[in-house]
Parts: sequence; C-alpha cells; structure tokens
Amino acid sequence: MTSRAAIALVYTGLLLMGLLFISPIAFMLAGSFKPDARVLMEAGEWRAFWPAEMSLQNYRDVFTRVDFARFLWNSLLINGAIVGLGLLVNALAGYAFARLAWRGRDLMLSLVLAVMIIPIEAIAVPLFYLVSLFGWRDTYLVQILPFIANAFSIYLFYTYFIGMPRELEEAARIDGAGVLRTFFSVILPNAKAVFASVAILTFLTQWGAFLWPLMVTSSESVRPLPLAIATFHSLPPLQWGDIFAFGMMMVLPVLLIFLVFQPWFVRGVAATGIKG
Amino acid sequence: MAGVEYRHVDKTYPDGTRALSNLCLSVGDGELMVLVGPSGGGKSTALRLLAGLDPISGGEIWIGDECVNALSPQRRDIAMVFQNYALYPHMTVRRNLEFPLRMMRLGRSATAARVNDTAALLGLTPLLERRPRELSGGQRQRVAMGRAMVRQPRVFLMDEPLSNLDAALRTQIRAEIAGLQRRLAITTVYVTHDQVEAMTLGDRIAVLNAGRLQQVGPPQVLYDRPANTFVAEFLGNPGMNILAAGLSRDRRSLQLRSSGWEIPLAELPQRCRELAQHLAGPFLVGLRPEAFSPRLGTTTEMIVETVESLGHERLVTVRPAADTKGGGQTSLVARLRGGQAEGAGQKIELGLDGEQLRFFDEQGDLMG
Repeated sequence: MTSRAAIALVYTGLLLMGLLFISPIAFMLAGSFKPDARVLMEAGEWRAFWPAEMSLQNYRDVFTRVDFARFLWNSLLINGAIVGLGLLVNALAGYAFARLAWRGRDLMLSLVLAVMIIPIEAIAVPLFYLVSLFGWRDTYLVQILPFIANAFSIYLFYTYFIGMPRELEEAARIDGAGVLRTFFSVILPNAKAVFASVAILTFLTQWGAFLWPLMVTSSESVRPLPLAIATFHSLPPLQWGDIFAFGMMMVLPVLLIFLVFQPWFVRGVAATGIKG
Repeated sequence: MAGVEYRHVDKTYPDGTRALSNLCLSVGDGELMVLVGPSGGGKSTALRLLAGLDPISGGEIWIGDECVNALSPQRRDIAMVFQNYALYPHMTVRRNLEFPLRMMRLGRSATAARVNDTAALLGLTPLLERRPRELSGGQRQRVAMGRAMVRQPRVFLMDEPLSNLDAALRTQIRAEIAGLQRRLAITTVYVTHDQVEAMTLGDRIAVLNAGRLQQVGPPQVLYDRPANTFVAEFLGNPGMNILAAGLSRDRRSLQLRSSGWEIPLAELPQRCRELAQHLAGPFLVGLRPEAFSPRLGTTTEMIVETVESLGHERLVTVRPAADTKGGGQTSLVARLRGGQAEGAGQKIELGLDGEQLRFFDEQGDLMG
C-alpha cells in the first residue's frame, strides 16, 4: 500500500471515530430544534442529525415548564465557588508541598496522593452524616465546601511548581518579598497554564455532579442543573425535544469555558505531564 | 556598606553530603572577592549560605557588625545576580527594576528616580518597557545587574553571572562589572568556575576545592606562589606543570623524575639551592608553561606531541625524548613564542627558568 493510501485510510478511520463521538451531541442539537413528534420518528435515519424546520419552541418550553434560570444560577454559583476557592486553596497547598520545608511534608504529600483514589461515592454516607450534624443540608455551602480542597488539583499544582526554576523565587526572596508575596507576585503570574488546566478540569468534573447534590438537597432553590434535568425528564408530558433543549443549554457553558481556556489548557496539560 | 566574614562555617546537606568544611574567610568593605573552584567545590554553597537561601550547619556568617545566621534573605540587605538571571518573565524591565524597591516600600517618585538612574548607568533606558524574553543575553545580564544595583545593598552576590554569554560578550561585560564595582565600591562576592574571570576580576581570589578553602590572596600572589598543587594546576590556562622530582645522589643536581631532565643546582637561584639542601625524600616541582624556553641554561631533548597555536604564542605539549612510549604520564606543556612552529613528532631542546621553579612536598603543599 502506498503511503498516501495509508494516510487516507488512517484519516478515514479517525473521521469515522470523530463522527461516532460527536453524534450524540449532534443528535441532541438537531433534536432540540425539532417539534417533539419528529425527534423519535427520525431517530433511526440520517435526518436525526438534521432539523428540517428550525424552531426555538423547545427552548421556550423549558423556560415555561421549569425555573431554568434558577437552576443555571445555582450551578454557576456552586461551580464558580468550587473553582475559584479551589484554585486558591489547592495552589497554595501545592506550593507548600513543592517549595516550603516543614516537618511531615513528605508524609502529608503521600497521604494527599493516596486520597486521590477515593471516589466521592465511597465517603458520601459518612460525609452526609457529618454535614447533617452541622445542619448544612439543603444549602449552597454543603455543595461547595467538600469539593474545594482537591487532591488531584493539589497534585497538578505540585508537579507544576516543582518544575519551575527555583531561582525566580530565590530572586524574589532576596529582593525582599515574603512567601505569600512571592507566591502572588512571581509564581502565580507565571503559572497561568496550570491554573487554567485545574480550573477546566474542576469545572468539568463538578458541572455534572449528581449523587451528592441529590443526597444533600431537597428544595429546588439550591439544586443544580443535573438534578433539574433528571426531574425535568420525569415531568409529564415526556417531551424529548424539550429535554434535548435543556441538555443543550446545560452543555453550552462547559463548551464555552473549554473553548476560551483551551490554549492554556493544552499548555498546562503538556507542562504538568498529565494524560486524559 | 559592610564587609563579610565567614567564621568556621560548615554546611552538610540532609543526605549527608558535606559541601563546606570550616570555611574562614573575610571580605573587606568594598572588596571584590572571587570564589573560584571546580564543580562541587563549595563556592556556590558558600554564596547561598551568605544569601540565606540555605540554612547553615555550623559556624557564623557576619555582614558588617551583624551575625546574619538567623536572618531571612530579605532582611540581609543583599542583592544577587543569578547564573540564569532569574528575571521575572511577566514583568517589563522597568517592573523588574522596581520590584526590590517596591518591597522596600520606597516612595513612588524615589523609585522612579532610582530606576531611571540605574537604567541610564547600564544603558537600559531604551529597553525599559520590554519584557525579558524580548532581550538578548547580554541585555538580560545587564537587567539582572540593574535589579541588584538599584537596591544599593550592603553586599552584591554574583553566581556565575557571565557563564551564559558568548566569549566576546563575556569579556566586555566582565570589564563593565569590574568598572561598576569599583565605582560603586560595594562589597562583592563573585562565584565562578572560570579561572580567567577570577584572575581578571578579583581584588582577591579564594580557591575552594571539595568544600575546603585552599588559598586566598591577590590573583598574582596565587598565580606566582600557589599554596598547593591543586591551586597551582587550577589557576592559569593551562595550569602549572607538576612533576615528580628528586636530588641526584651527589646532591649537586635536581632531577626531574621520569623525564630524565637533570639541572645542576649551581644553575638555579639561591632560594632553590637553599631549599634543596634540606630535602630528603622525593618531592614535586611546579613549572608554569611560560617557564620553558628553547635557550635557557641546561636544556634537554623533548619530543613534540601536540601544538596549539594561539597566534601570538603556541602551547606545545612535549614529552622527554627519553620516554619513548609517551602516553601523557610525563607530558608537560610549554608556552613558546617566536621562531618556527614545531610539528608533532619533532625533537626540540628546552631549558627552564629556575626563578619560576616551585617546590611542593609529597602531600602537594608548597615548600619554601
């Protein structure tokens, strides 16, 4: 086989794979613009991916049937707080592990790395008991606080900081800056890539959080989008077009954030050496 | 401004590596002291301890009349130029220069004045709004110097500041550093592994090897009278030839062992004759490459191994004609000028200048 033919074959294969992966979103996107009756009717044919008549009716329906804006706000608030506070806390922790000398540092680092493999499902019940004890159920706080400190984020910051030239910090210290000043004036501005990576990764994992919010919230006023779409799904009448419109609006913020931060994200992933 | 003093300073790293042993060294107010030595010699460690970047294991370091052992780097009133410059990449040249002054909480107008003065002094004014990545190596080096100078610290620390520059630029900036240091008269501790830099820059040089101070003194003194064979071989390019030697049975002539070279004591200066009379066992002699010449006293026949021509002079590696096998054990390097260039394998006659002869005992320490 000639090399041209081989390349063509590889690209065709990749293209088919790409189409396969994008098809659910394309199906959802097309469906979100179709009248409800056509969504299932055309599901088995190519028209599933093509809205013949475009209509925003499904999107309007979502807003009239549920308080979508409220859920969106809840999700944005919870995720914004987790990402923002998480960046601060985890970056400082990663820096302390990478650069400060303190007793028990290596042991603590091993513990943090060990914690990475424990899924939320494993600690959900004791954690639920704990937050109930504090009377935090059905609040924003209970959906934010447990997720600020994150072992994986600390690990990403740690690996990035440990690879930064030490002289920069030493120069800052000699120039008269203390530890925090050095961190905020010298380290942080030179670590945008890892901040972007951690922000995106945190956002992606938390945006779809379902189990924990389901356990600790009961009122709509504090519930995030993943719970809302589950409820919406079971809300009669079953309207697939509406569900798709809801789904599209839920995916959109993630896509936007990824597209905006993508250049830094790629650099950050390359710099920290993590793999997807 | 202030002098610097190391008092019995030790440094052992947590893994047990002993980087510095009992260093005692005093640097005068306004003096430029060069710490020189091979990698792992302890020179950078000595600088980092003075900067407060690493904790000291034993002894005391004084800056002026203050023991700084317990002071953090920011409270020692020092400035440092790093080997890779360590400029803040996200800041413009101006912001880089301002940073230490902002940390000092100097007023806005005073900061601007000092930054502008320093920039003018170093020719950085047109570059003030650029970022480090937009500068050449030499310009970055100047910014690093500027950031150190703008503080007007008690002591300058320089950690191989020229090693990332090309040869021509290195010579130019070396001269600039020497000029600036003299003008500002700020006590400076300068670390380098380059003995040419050490010889040309230092008011005094301290040679360190394996964590121990070998010798300290003005460059010419170290060159002429090295305290031991390490200093003798380290300083000078190429270093001193060190040869095993002894006296002839009748104690009338000096024999350079394994080279078959025999020099009547009568041809040597008074100093050498007196010293030789007290020698019993074998010893070592040291000869700078420039001590050899084709027409000097008793000559001996040598075979040319290699010739490096530097234009104005030649570095000729020779071995005694008596040593037929060669192999470098008995080779020595002579610095020759004028005359016809030698070819490899050619036989030449070489004599030596007895004034330049140095004697070392078997442990390698200078005698006499």
